[in-house]
Amino acid sequence: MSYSEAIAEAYASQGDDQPVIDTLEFHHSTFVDDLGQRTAARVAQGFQDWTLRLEDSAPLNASEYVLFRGVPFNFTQPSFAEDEIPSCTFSISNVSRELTKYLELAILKTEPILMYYRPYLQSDPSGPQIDPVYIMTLTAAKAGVTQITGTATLSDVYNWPFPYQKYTPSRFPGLVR
Amino acid sequence: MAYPKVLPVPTRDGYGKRPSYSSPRFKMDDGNYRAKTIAGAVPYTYALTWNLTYPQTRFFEAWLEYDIIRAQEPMQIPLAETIINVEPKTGIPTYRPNGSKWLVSLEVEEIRAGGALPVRGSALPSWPANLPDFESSGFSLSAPDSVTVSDIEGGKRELRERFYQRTTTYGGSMIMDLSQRNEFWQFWNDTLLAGKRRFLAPFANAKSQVPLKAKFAQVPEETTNGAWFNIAIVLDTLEAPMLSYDEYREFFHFVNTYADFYVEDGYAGYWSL
Repeated sequence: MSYSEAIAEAYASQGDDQPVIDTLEFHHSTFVDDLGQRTAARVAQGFQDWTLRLEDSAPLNASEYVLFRGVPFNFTQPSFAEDEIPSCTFSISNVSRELTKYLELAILKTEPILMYYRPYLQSDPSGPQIDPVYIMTLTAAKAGVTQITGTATLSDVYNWPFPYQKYTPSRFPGLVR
Repeated sequence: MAYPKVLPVPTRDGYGKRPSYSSPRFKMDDGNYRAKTIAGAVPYTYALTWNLTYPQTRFFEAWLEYDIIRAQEPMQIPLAETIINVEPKTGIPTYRPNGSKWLVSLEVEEIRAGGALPVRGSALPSWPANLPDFESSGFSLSAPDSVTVSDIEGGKRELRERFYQRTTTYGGSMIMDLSQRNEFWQFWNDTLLAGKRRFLAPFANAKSQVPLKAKFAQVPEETTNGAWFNIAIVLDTLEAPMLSYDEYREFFHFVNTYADFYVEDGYAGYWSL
């Protein structure tokens, strides 16, 4: 996971020519639009809508410019600490109830909802300033009258085997004596 | 939705305008602040009051109910010789009796497009020349203590300089006419990207006006002052307006050499003593 140099500079110096646009995207197989096509719920922090290009490896509308709706939300980036699965909390305004309808569809299936976090720079809508983007799994979500609050975790990297290479006889025949 | 012709324009009393969102600021150890810039559009809240007769009050109510769809739709309101496109911030206005009339108050919000991003490396913008000076009545300057003093009792106190650059906070209120006020908001919204960009503010240092790097510390707040506007501003500047070392030496030399002859007569050259 690496940030682009431009956004690293913007985070470090908070210059006036590079405002950061934080975006969230929610994915689930039950999210469909009025025409029955797969869609995703996309929001951008702030007071206006943005048309931004997704990365080439995006699960939906890859390399396309898509609309992120300007919605108030709070989001803290996941922290990375020892013996801890990186997780983050978020809260999104739910006054328009756009997300509630998706959540209601999603709870009918056991498949988890994925949350994609992509920071953009206002000066560069041609792609997220992070590669690969944060892909998090929603572990808890609660919809209230004005807000949806939830927790999302990054993949459970602590349970991955390390080293990941498996020295099997089929891959390394010389190991068999 | 267009403004009904039977309604009068909002009154000056009870009027207020301020940007609704001030982005987060983080205090640094040297006393400076670092503000997170918001991208794109800027929201403004207006506090509006109408002085309405009884039939006008009933009409206003019905207009909000049926044309503005229970205060959820955008509407146009004539204000300060222009028309603003706003949305209600509160669902129900407040009503207060005012003699034989009613004072009806409503908060509305306008979303204005943000300014164009500055070209990297371009010079800082200057405070527009048409706008009033900073050091007017009611202004104040404050700075954080620049020395660190030992805080244990019972012994000679130690002292050292904490940081060299002093962030000075300037607070003040300016009276502007309509055109100055429009220019100010355009400067704040478009040029300064909702107050997040630094600019050069002219401050006097007893010899001349020196441009200081300044940044808005809080959102400006506008109220009316008769037919004029009061705009309260708070700025962070990087240094208090102070004589430079060279200017100080020159001044020192001048006073020591010629004090007996000139200063008594009230003559001090270009130094405003």
